[in-house]
Amino acid sequence: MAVLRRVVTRLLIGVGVLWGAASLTFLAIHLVPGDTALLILGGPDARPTDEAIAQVRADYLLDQPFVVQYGSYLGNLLQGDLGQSYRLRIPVSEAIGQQIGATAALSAAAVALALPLTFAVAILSAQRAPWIREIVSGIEVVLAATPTFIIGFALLILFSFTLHWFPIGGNQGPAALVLPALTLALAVFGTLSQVLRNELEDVLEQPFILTARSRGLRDLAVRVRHALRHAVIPVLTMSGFVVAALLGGSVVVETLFSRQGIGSLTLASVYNKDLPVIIGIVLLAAAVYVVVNLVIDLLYTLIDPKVVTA
Amino acid sequence: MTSLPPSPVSPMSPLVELQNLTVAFGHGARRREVVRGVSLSVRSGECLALVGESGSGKSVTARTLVGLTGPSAEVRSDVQRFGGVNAGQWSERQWSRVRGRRAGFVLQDALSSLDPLRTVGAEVGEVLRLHTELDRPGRRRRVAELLASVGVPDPELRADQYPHELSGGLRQRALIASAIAAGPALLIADEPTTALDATIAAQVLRLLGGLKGSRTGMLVVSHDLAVVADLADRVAVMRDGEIVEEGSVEAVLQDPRHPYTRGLLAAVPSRASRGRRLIAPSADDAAGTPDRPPSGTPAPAVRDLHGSIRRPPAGDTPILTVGGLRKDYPGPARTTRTAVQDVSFTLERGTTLGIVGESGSGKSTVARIVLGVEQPDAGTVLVHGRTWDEHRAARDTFVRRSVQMIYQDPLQSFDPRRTVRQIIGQAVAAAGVPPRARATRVLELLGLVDLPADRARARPIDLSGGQRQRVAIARALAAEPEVIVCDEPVSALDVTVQARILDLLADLQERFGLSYLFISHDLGVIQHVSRDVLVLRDGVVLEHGPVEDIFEHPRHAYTQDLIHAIPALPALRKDTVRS
Repeated sequence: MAVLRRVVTRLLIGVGVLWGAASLTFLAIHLVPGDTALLILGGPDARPTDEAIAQVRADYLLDQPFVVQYGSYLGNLLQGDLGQSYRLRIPVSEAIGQQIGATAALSAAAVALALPLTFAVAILSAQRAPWIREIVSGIEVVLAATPTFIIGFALLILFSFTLHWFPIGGNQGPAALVLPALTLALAVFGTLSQVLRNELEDVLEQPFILTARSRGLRDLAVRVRHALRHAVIPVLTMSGFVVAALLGGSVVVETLFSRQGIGSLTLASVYNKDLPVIIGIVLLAAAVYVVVNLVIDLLYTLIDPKVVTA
Repeated sequence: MTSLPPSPVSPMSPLVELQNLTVAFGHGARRREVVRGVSLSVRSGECLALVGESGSGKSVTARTLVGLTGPSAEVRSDVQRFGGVNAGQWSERQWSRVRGRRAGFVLQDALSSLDPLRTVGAEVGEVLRLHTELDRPGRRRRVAELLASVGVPDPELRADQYPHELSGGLRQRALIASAIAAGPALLIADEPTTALDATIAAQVLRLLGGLKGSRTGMLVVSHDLAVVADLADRVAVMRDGEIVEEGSVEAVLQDPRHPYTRGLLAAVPSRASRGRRLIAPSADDAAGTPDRPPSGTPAPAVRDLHGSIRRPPAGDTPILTVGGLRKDYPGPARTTRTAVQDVSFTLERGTTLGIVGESGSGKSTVARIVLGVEQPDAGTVLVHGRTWDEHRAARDTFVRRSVQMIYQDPLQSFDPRRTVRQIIGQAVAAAGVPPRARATRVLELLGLVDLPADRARARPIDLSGGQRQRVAIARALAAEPEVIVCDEPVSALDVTVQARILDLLADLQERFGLSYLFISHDLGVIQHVSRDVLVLRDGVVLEHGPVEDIFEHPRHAYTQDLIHAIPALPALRKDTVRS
């Protein structure tokens, strides 16, 4: 019952977040200099006639006051109409729908690589001899601090150009997915593993860990059965960071590995000032955030019994 | 399972035995020996108590017995035997077979010693999962039996609850149940009652006493001699990593040989110690701790704490009159919980009123209302015959300052980035001392609380517990107060450090005519410091009167229980009978 109420509350808040994101994007577009009608017609280079511009202004309500435009924009959104791409001449939902599968696969593969790597490294390196910790932590800091495209280049040079194990790019087959996913995974792993190990080391100092050891539990069992559950809570809190890293990283990685996907769609839309698509992608990102945070919230409840009762 | 070390050969051979144990942490210049040359043994059916103050190495010694000192420790001993078998070279794997099955371990404060994210039943059941062949339903039944056997009511229900849903006493019982689940021959209890209220602690001690059977040996670690007096057969007193005295409980408590033990016994506040200093000046060298400034540090002379300020005429009105206090807090589901109900008392100049009660009795709420930081829902607090509001209207800021407070854990009330000089200096500035005079005033205050002047540069984290409390007292004195509300000021301190702080508070009271509202759960401390005493339970005053009357003729059954629960030293008990 309490859980249901939390879900409903969170969903309502989520709708608010989406509305906020839509409004901010709308406002941002109006603040950006440039004639929208001209953009719709292909930019100044297309040299449209005055009649055409006037026609577009009337069609897109561009000659109406701000409030009317905003109202009609929100009304269309509520009906699920994201508008038409200026560049592709297809509905925005269709443009995004064509690309979302590739990016979802990339993100899923990156998460599937990053999480086991993070957990294994952090669990095995927490509270070990100083030299082990320093080496592991050094690698993590370098990975966290290195821009994604440099990690990607390094992997390309090593595994594609030198060893020829994986293709240099494209969307063909699972082999083409490995290097892009690994690039994203490494970027996420560096930060997550640092956080998880610090938390594990704090938890391993707690008295209940000593109690668990005093019962005859082995070291690895103590870490996995007792410490991990506590240490994973702050890592969950960082899933916002992970989502951002995956979305932002997909722009870089999809460009670098010449892959299809939301990232390359974003880039192309930004280059061409394809505003409806940009708005669509912003709303998609906001929706992903809302859903991820809702799931995380429910996971907290599963992990820590105090979250619901408190 | 098959390669378990054999069971003890004869019942007379010790369960555990250590000879010349040395434990060190760190390397090179930072190497520190925390245990030096300790030898001990525990036999079946006997209880050895390891007593010492914090940092004496008692906990480390206890952990060595089950190989739990951790990878950073360097452990050496001439002999280490477990169950008659040489255990000196055991691997972590061998130790893990012994722990839980043949040696149970109970730690202080079950709230942090039980995994807060797992149910109590899962914690107790883990021992059964590791060391018995029981299946899941079998473990569930056994967990309920175990919880019932340590006096947990509704064991099936409790097994499904989380540690934070249980009271402190029940938690500690559950922790004990998990330690004895696999029927170990050795039970090690490290400060098993320290975090508990007096009456609950007495119950847990009785439970531990009942577990001390013919087949079980027990090692109890405590900072409190009185706690172990009833439970233990033998006592070993530790100081700075060494055992300074060992013998039967009677011998050590009634005829202590070592000056440190004598100092430790004398430092325990009780009714017998009323009106005298807890630390005899000559005992300082014997029981000396770094808390004491080096002798010869000249303390700046201060003749009058209140030299500079305007004071109300000293009349007959008590400094503090509290009448009919009531405070409600909103509880769950729109209920209200009454924290304090109809509390009245007066505090006269130069006296101490002790407020006794267990956790949740409303002691701290009373303190906060007296300070004026919390508004009562009914009743009045009169300082010099006027309410806080009236003082505020009259802009009497010196009255505002005249009631100060010190806390149990001063560290939390200090800004960790500031030095002692800045912490006290801020209070000095708030008291209206002109900037030129502030530095001198800070040094004066440090002298008043017996802190050497060079401590002014230290930060709170670098101070010992006793020094921190001294800084807190100096900060309170900076406001030139008449009343100091002391909320459990010595509860977190070792016995000898506690004794020094109590002596200091007594000195300051005598010198400056301070009045104390002294809140404590420790009846020994209350009897030592108070002229009058107020017994609080569930926010209601059960008894109120001179301390002698209340302790000699307690009217209320709860007060009788409280007094009964004071763990008394046999030697001191005799004193009480005599007086």
